[in-house]
Amino acid sequence: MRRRVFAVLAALSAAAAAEEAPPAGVCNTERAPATAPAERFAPRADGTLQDRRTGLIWRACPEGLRGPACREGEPLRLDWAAALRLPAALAARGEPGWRLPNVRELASLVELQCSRPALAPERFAGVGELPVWSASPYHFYTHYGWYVDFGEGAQTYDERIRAKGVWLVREAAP
Amino acid sequence: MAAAAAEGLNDTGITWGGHYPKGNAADCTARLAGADAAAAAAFAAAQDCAHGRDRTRPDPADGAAGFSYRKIDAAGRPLPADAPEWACVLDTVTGLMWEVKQPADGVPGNRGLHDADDLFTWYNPAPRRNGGAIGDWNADRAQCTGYTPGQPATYCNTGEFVARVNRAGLCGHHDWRLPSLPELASLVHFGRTRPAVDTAWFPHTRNTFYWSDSPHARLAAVAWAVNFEFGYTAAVPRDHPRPVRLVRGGRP
Repeated sequence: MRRRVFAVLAALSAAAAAEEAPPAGVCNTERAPATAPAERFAPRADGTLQDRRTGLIWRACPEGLRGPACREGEPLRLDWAAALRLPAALAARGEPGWRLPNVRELASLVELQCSRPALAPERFAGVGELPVWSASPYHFYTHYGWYVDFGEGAQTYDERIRAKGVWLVREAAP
Repeated sequence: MAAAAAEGLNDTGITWGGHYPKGNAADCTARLAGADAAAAAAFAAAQDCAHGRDRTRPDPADGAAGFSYRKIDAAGRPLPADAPEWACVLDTVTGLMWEVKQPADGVPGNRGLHDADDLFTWYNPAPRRNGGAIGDWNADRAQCTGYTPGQPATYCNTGEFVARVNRAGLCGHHDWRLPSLPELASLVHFGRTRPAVDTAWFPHTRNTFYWSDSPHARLAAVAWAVNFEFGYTAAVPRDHPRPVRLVRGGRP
């Protein structure tokens, strides 16, 4: 079925293809290489995930989401300054060591084989089309910061006053 | 306790803080509207500039901030960092080797195979890697070195360009390929714009989209590209002529 959907898609124009888009969380596994498949993310005893490739340890979901494939809850949305201050609040509650990822670390989660979200659906389907802040300010327009659009997978920028999701990371223990 | 650098990921090149709601600092400090000095310091310490190789390994001799590059000559031999001419660059953090382009003069096709002005459409006949469509063969446009009407091996598309570079060889290697989006984006220096790359190592980088080999998951008429003017990524139409920078090595 998935194969057929994409065979049909290939024959259509881009505009028509958009209208015929498969449902959320569907991946073009037969026609596109994986960039961040589910097997890269190893579950740890404390409920976090370790990326076997980068070594980074991630919260299992963006803040506010939980459950299998992050399908439960509502995503927390904060402006850039509030997002950057969240790790300190977590540390004060007894969860130290977390930080906002830089834009390259955040983009390393993107699975371009998939769309809406551009993430491995087995782990992250519930993230949907959430935009998520990075810790990286933007150089050229100085009221902007970098974020990752997990709907399609782009790394791009927006005004720091906008509310976006938060997905925390930490280094592996030495 | 060494901060475990993210294996294989470059840092961003951002060595300065961002104020809130607007403005950037010259160093890794930041102002936060309505906050006292301690809160502002904590705000800066939470940002990109306070973490990673840009802070722990900021050696400028091998690339700006935390970037660590090595020049390679046309035969594949390593060169000193101040070598005036080089053909490839090895990124020692990602392990990827990159094609370096020759000077741009605004005219495609007059500086050899690695002319920075040369443009290519996105073309990939491999059904398991092209998102469901081959892209644009580009039989008609003379936008790259060697183009000859009626000779498909000379056409200005990404697939034929990769084949031409591998027939000729570059820096002693014949396994060059179009980079994936994350590979290509690893070159972005987020502290620079126009272009958003370290031009001391990647001169003649153009302020436009460069092709990756990553198809879009849903839309077969576009493919992913990195905008080296500002550093963002986007999926753009495959029949638009764009520059490329080939890669080799790295992880399978």
